[in-house]
Formats: sequence, C-alpha cells, structure tokens
Amino acid sequence: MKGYAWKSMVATVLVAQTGAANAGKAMEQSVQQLLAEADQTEPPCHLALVASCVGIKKILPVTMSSAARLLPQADHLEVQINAKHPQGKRRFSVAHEICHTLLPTYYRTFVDDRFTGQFSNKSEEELLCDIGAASLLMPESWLRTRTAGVAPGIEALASLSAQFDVSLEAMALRLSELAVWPCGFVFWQEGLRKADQVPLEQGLLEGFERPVPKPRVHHVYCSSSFATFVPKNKSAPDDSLVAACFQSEQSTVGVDVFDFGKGPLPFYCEHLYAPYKPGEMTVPRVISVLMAAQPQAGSPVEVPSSQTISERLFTD
Amino acid sequence: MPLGERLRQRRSEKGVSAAELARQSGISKGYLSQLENGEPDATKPSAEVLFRIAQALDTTIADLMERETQPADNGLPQGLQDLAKSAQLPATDIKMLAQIRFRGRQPQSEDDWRFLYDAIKRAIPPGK
Repeated sequence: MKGYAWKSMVATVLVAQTGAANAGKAMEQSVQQLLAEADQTEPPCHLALVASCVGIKKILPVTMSSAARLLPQADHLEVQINAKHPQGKRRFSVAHEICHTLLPTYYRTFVDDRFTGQFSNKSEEELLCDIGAASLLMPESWLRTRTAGVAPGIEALASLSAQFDVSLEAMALRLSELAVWPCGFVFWQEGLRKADQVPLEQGLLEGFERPVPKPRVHHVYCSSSFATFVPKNKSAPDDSLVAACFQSEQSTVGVDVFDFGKGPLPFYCEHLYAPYKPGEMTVPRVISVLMAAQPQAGSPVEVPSSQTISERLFTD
Repeated sequence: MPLGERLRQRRSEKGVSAAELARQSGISKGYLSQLENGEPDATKPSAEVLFRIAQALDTTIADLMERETQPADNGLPQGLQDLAKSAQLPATDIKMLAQIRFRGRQPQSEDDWRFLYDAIKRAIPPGK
C-alpha cells in the first residue's frame, strides 16, 4: 500500500502506539513481535500456537457463508472458519482474525468477516488485518531468505506456496508487493468481452453465433520492477501457450507475444493449469509468470518447445 | 502472578495431576515441577512447550502468561464496555457511541447506554 494515506481512527492510534511510519508498517511491527513471542522462525507459521498467544483457544471449521468469525467466549476467544474454503484461504482467514485482536480498537467483540484477503481500503480496519495476515504467514525476512538466488518461475511459486502453506494467489501477491522478482503473475479465466456479455433472457439475434469464451486476464499482480501494465479482461491469442494450457490442462513454457496496449511484445512465460473451487463448481484457471523476454544481442529469441512442468496438487 | 503459580493454579482447577499434565504436554515431570516452583535454573519454556501445556489444560498461552487480550485501558466507560460485551456490538457502533457527549457528559450504566443505542437505531433506520 505504498503511498496510501491512512485516515481512520484505528490507523492513527496504531501509529501513535508504535511510532511506525504508517499504519501498515505499525501492523507489520505488531505481527513481528507476535511471531517472536511465539518463537516462530521459519515457515510454515504455526497458526494455532500464534492464536493461543492472543487468547484464541479454538479454531473451528463450520458451514457458513462468511470467510471467518471471531467469537468472544467467557474466558477465551474462538475463531470459526468456512469449512468449504481451501486450506490456503482458511489459513489466511485465521491469520486475519488473529490480527483483529492486535488492533488498539479491538474490544473483545464479535467479528464477522464475510470476506478476507480483499486488501480494500473501504474499511481500513479490514485492510490492516489483511496486511497483518500476509505479514504473519509470509514474513518478509523469511521470504527474502528463501528466494535469494532463486529464479522466478511457476515451480518456484508453487514451491514457496507449499513451504509457507498459503495459496498460490496469496504468495503471488506477496512476492509482487515485496518486488522480489521482476515479473508479473497473471491469473487467467475463460470469459467474454463485456460487449458480448448479453443477458441470457435477451437471447441471441437470429443469424448471430453465441460468442465463445476466451482466456482473459482475471486479475494480475505485478512487481514494481516489472515495467508492463497488464489490463484486466485482456484476452490471450488463440494460438498462445495460455490457450494451449487451457485446452490441454497441462503446463506450458515458452515465449508468448501479447499486446497489452503498446504493440505486440514477447514475454517469457510459464503457465500452470490450476483450476480452483470457489464453491461447488470447479473453475478452469491458468496462472502465469510473465517475464521480459530478453534475447542475447545479435541472436533470435530461443523458443523452447512446450514442455510439461511437474505438477503439484493444488487445492486453491 | 508468576508463570509457575499460574500453571499450578490452572492444573488444580482442572483436577489434573502433575504426572498426567507432564505426560499430556510431552515434558518430564521433573521439568514441570521446576516450572511450577519457579526454580531459577529451570530452562525458560519455549512457546511450543507452553502451547502443549495450554492445550492439556484446555486454555491458551495468553491465559497462562496472563497476557491482556483486550487493551488495559481502551478509554471506554465501563457501562459501554458492559453493553459491548453483552450485546456483542460491532466495533463501528462502539466507536460511534464512545464519541457521543451531551453537555460534556455520557451515560453511566449499561442500561443507560442501551437506552441511547436503541434510540439511535430507532431514529436512524437502516440504510441511512
């Protein structure tokens, strides 16, 4: 949240209490103190132990529509998490609830978080808890140690995600926020252009074919050192490795050419087929690591043949 | 209260023998005895050991360490704190109520705060 101007009372009090430069840093500082108190020095963070340090006795998966709840009991706190959410998301939600107890305005009250991990400034309190959760699960110092000398790529993203026991998305966002690698993480899902999203009840005019969904940028996390703007909903060419990844459901590696508004540009890409289940249905998805394709002076870009990357089991 | 006394107090409340607590916590009975007696030579327990002890005693590390899980002085009047707990008020409503003053004064009892809160909710329908 570089450059964000904090406005709320909780942010003001947090800065006053810690002397940090801003509320986000103050929350990170509080989280680091908690990790030290809990003797946490390497991933994955032992969340149940950390939770116990702030008075949370039980973490219970329940069937509910919210992501997580924090419930005060007579002499302790309980966290309820959505039983249908995947492991990585549940861990983030638990970390989020832990961070609620670190806020100076927490009064041991019932907290119902419909969503966690939104990183939205609509509620600065929720934003601080998301920042804190990311810092709790993926402390900067731990990440920098484990990425030193490691080249960016899908395998590396998957490995880090497994080491820290977080979702691929959470790790991608964290790596981008910390500008660990000069790359972008693009999450593709099949969809239609906005102009083609005709309401079902309107039907189709005779003679017109139903538009075909194409792989489109659903969301993207780019490091500050990756100097390319990737617009949302931009489609991938039909002959791209992204499209091939969707069709084959196999990972692909190579150079793809994308036009993100400044003409066609080559990118070295690693695409991973990683479907996920936000609810009952499984949604096809591809996660890509995009890097600048930099050919050696005087020689053409090497385009390796598509190859299958060894796959891990992802549940997010 | 020192940690050792707290441990012994909680163990007594749960009716658990030292031998049983040591077994459930995965530590030796001798070490548990050192902790409970506050012996200076006893190795400071790690967070992992405290966690196992806390789980065996059905409590939390925060409880054993007597860590305040709510700000000691959050500036809220006692009546409002009591209402916040009994009615499980959302944080935004607590903050709003805490800022209300009438001629420099605030409600005193929990019932007075509840009366004010109900009046506000009646006067300002949802959505406004």
